[in-house]
Amino acid sequence: MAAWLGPLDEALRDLPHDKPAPCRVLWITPLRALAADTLSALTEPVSALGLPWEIAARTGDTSSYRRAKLRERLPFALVTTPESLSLMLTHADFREKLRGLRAVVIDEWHELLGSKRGVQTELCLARLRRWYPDLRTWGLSATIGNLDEAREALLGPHHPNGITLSAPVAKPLVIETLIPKDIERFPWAGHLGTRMAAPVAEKIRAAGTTLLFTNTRSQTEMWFQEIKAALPDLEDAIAMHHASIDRAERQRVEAGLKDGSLRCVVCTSSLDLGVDFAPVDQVIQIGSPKGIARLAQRAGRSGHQPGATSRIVGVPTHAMELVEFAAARDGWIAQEIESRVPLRQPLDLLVQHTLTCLLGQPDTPADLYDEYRSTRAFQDLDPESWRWVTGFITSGGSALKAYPQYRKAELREDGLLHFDDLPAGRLHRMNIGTITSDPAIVLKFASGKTLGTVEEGFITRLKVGQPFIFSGRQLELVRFHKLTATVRASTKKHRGQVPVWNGGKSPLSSELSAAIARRLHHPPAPAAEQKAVSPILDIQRRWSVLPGRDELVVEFTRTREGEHLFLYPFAGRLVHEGLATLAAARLSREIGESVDLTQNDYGFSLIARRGINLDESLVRSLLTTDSLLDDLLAAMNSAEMARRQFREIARVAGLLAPDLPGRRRSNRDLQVSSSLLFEVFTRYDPENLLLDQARREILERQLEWTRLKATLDDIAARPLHLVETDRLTPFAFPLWADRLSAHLPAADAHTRLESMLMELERTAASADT
Amino acid sequence: MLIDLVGTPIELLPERAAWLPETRDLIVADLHLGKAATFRARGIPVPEGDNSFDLERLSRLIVHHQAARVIIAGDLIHAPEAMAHGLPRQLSRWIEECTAEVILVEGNHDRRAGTKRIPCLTLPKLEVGPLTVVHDPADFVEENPGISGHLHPAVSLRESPRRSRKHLCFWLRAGRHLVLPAFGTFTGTHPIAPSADDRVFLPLTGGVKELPSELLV
Repeated sequence: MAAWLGPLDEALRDLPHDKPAPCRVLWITPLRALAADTLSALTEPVSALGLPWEIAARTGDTSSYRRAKLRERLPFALVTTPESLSLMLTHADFREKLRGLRAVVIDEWHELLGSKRGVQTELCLARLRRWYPDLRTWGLSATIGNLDEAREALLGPHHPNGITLSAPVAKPLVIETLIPKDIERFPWAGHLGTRMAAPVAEKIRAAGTTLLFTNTRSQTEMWFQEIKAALPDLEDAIAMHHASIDRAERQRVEAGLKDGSLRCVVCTSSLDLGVDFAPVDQVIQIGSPKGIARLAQRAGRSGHQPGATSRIVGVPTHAMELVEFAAARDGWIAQEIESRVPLRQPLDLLVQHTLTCLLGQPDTPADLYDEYRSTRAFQDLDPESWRWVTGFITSGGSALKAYPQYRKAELREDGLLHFDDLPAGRLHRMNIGTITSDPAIVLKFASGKTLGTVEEGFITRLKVGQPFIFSGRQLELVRFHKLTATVRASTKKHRGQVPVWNGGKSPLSSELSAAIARRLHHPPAPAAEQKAVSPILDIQRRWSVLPGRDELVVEFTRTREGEHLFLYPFAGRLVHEGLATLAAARLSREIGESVDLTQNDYGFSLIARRGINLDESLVRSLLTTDSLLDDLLAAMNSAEMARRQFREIARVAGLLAPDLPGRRRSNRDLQVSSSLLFEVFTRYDPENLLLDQARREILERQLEWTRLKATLDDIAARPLHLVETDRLTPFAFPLWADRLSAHLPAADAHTRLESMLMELERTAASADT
Repeated sequence: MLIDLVGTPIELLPERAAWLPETRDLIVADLHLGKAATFRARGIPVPEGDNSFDLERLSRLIVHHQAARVIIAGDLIHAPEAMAHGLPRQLSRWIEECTAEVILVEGNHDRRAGTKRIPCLTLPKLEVGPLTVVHDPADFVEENPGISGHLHPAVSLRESPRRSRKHLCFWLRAGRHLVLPAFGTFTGTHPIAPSADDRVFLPLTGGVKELPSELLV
């Protein structure tokens, strides 16, 4: 609120108190769900003073009538999201309307930092500062490990005087864990683990109000069912909340928490944030904490009063999560909080933002270039890449290879870039933003009431009449047509499946991974969780050795599926994905077999039908730093990773027409899959920098190139510990049970399919004889 | 691969086309020419290339089989924007130089794009012996056997115990209706759900293979 009282105080001094005020403050919030709360928090002091100054919100949820009103006249303070701010930049009169702007506040900056939305915010700020150089910028952030970088991203690298203010005292935080009684029978891998439902229900009954956090929307659906079944008398006081549930229903739940009519809300990160969120008596975290900062933030939902202690109860869903909670506590005590690393030079976003700016007003390429170079993300943008961006938006391809008939922006004789083609501009406005997901399918009752959204992949696998669970209701599919699935309440006996949404699996932070390795081998203090899990750690020791960071443990096991190598570098899931892809490609080349791979936060596994021998030189050759970049690039292509990453880039750069419910019919000729586009670009325009960006983003973001190389160097200096095991060990089992993350084929798809058909014919023939 | 459709032999070609040796007819569907141009005209930059590539593929097939007629079972053109530039000229030249007679059975995309400037015989449907060629299989008169396009059929196949992959296919429905895969390179696919009396054929580099029902996911 400090950020609000400053500009308010200033306005009190130099604006008349009896007239509506011009727009002075922009308040940017990462979630549109937060806008309503923010709005009421900002309005309170203004209406208490009896001032006629308007405060309003403009987000994707705002009605078109309200939006049109806001276009006419901006309020004294406008609450908005980065996407809506971008959209307003496309209006020619927006600059003039902001003439009185004094301050821009970025709320929960840590949520935006480290994503393309963060870079989008940086670019918008650069534009506002170019218009009004005296603008003051405030960023509000939770505790993160790299506050200085966060400030630089907000203000730009050349800003002379930024100041970081911190709250004087960190709020005390207590992390407890519900320890299962019978650890021996506790699952090693995360199979939902709702067997803890009974003790969790007791906790809920004992407290006044509870927030029950889970890590995925599917888990939320599942736990909601369990808790309701365990507490039938409180059934009406239990609700659920996740991002795919219809907005009206979410608002009803939020209101219920505030007025105290709800005792427990099962939720995902959709309730992580919120300025004026009603504090609850108790916070419970189901499953892995994932990160130290994340756990602390969720804990902060309880004990909001100054001086009170935040308290969170961890509920493990498999054995190793006990260690994770203990390690998160170690990390919090040592204040090893995660960093959010800002992105550099996402050209897809620069393509989008440049068109956004030009839609608002024509500009010279040189001025835009200078504007972009004032941001942290694009401070090193070289003239060649910038020429490519302007070339891409004016002629499609590079200067030498223009695309016929294509025109979006145009460099005219006045030396300015113009973008004033109306239909293309409309399409662009619909496309602003950087969040990608599968086409969302709207769930509706025949009466027309909407329930929320699920991903297309889930609904296409359902048959008509098949039951499933959504938003806590048992439903069955009636009809699926054009992005709308009509459903009705189901009375069938069996409960049906729970939808799975993509993007549910966030990795453990590297800080937490390090804390876990330390807790296993050099625990800073005794912990009840570690004691509880010791029978399982003993099994690991008996059958193999306990992995850690002092040596690299490699296990080799034969199963009916084939031969498995398990390696445990403890470097975090993303690095493991890179290491696994690299090692799988090298192994596949070496033995001439297809290699499947899985990874988790502790290590990764390679699976082949035959041909793996356990010897030190083989393992060393898989993990060598020789020809690292070449091997990794080759692996990326055959594992189709670049193709997957291209989806997001194609969407942000405006290559995929927006696929919204109720979209304009005229867009139907523009439906194309990103993988088809990827093929076309690879075949006819291989120099396109967006392809290059796809590869770069995988190297840097997905595979964390820098950390990958450091990990390989580190492994090279560590002794190897090779163990052949008869059975899957407690550390190997979750890797074995995990879903396949990639597949490194030994040949091209057609050859594989042909050999598969041949094998099938052979099997059929031998069955006949 | 040679199949029999109510007495008419049909060879399914790995180039995603059907060959009727008795009448020397080559049948393809869903070229969607000018799709890239349509994207560009609406402000989405996609490189040029597929039109000539697909027409050349078709020419090679015609020459190789010495076809008397080439029948396009609809969706030759993607959208009106595709006709706004070089495509009509390119197509006219191609039809003129084509050694076979070109017949277009109009598809929904062709109707929207307008076929006036394409100098070839254009029909809503075509009888070939006992078979009817239409674009949309919904236009089949129930009992009449025939060949169509429109659906861009594809099946999902398990590749390893843990992985599946989409693959375009020929779809023979109840032994009477053959749905062709899309011939065009810049086209998407649509997953199908074959029933027990259907057959599915995969165009592979080495030839067309029938998909054993065990492999259907």
